[in-house]
Amino acid sequence: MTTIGQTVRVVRRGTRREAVPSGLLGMMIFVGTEVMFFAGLISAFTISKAGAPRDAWNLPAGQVLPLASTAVNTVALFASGALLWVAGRQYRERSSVATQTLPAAMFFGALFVMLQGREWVGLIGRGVTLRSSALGAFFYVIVGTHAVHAVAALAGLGVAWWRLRAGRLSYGFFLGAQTFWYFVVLIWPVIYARVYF
Amino acid sequence: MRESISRQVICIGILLTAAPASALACPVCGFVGTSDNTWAYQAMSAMLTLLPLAMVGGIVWWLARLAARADTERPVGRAFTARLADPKGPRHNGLALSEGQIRRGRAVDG
Repeated sequence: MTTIGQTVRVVRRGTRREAVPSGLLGMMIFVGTEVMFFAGLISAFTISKAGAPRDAWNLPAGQVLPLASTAVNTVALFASGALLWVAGRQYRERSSVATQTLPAAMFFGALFVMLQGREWVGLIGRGVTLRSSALGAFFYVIVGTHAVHAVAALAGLGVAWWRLRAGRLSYGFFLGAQTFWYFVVLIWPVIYARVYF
Repeated sequence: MRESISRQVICIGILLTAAPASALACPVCGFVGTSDNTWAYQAMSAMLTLLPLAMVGGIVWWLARLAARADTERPVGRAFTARLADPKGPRHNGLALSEGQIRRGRAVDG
């Protein structure tokens, strides 16, 4: 018989307790593997860039990566992370406002992905492709992989929002989705600083 | 006899240390020494070595801290315990309970 939700398991005889929600711990381990995945990509990028002749590490036809517009996208991503943090606080305080803050965080996250997509369309239109240069190949692989993670994390937040509205959102699921989105937000400045500059 | 074996082991160890040239463990390792990217290779090797150790160490330290707090009857942290007070609140998973909370019958019985 449980009095605080069925997932709180306390065995009196062995005093066995869960200190951390399983969903959160699982997500942290997963995020750890993802951090190493991105570390490998950035490592390969850094070594290749340092080993390439100066005039060979360019985009075709004198193109440059869109630094300024990506900075604006980055602001949108950070706004999304901040709003998710606020939504987390509201959820813990059992405030119904969380059902409005969470979609706002998702909106800014989706805005980031869409603006990045628009940049990609522009770059591809100007001849910057995976095969056009080593920098182009690294750019699309690293930034594209991040975009895939962002879409997956947004899907997780969407499920969390759906469950929150239905009153079925577990704390572990929310923490897991939140952790994954924070990973997407926090890994981006590293990618931006390494790849774009 | 034992002294002779240890001397041999030391000699073999020195030879093995001196013998290898560069270890090409990945496609970009071939660039090492061919240009001025040695610093990049060394920095990235250090990052890839230390990053997983730091992450695993961080998680273990965090879990140990949570477990220690749970054992000393103190709340595990606002994030985890704020919701314990109200069973009617939103659902939550696997929150650590203090011994006091268990005694007060807030947790699983049996």
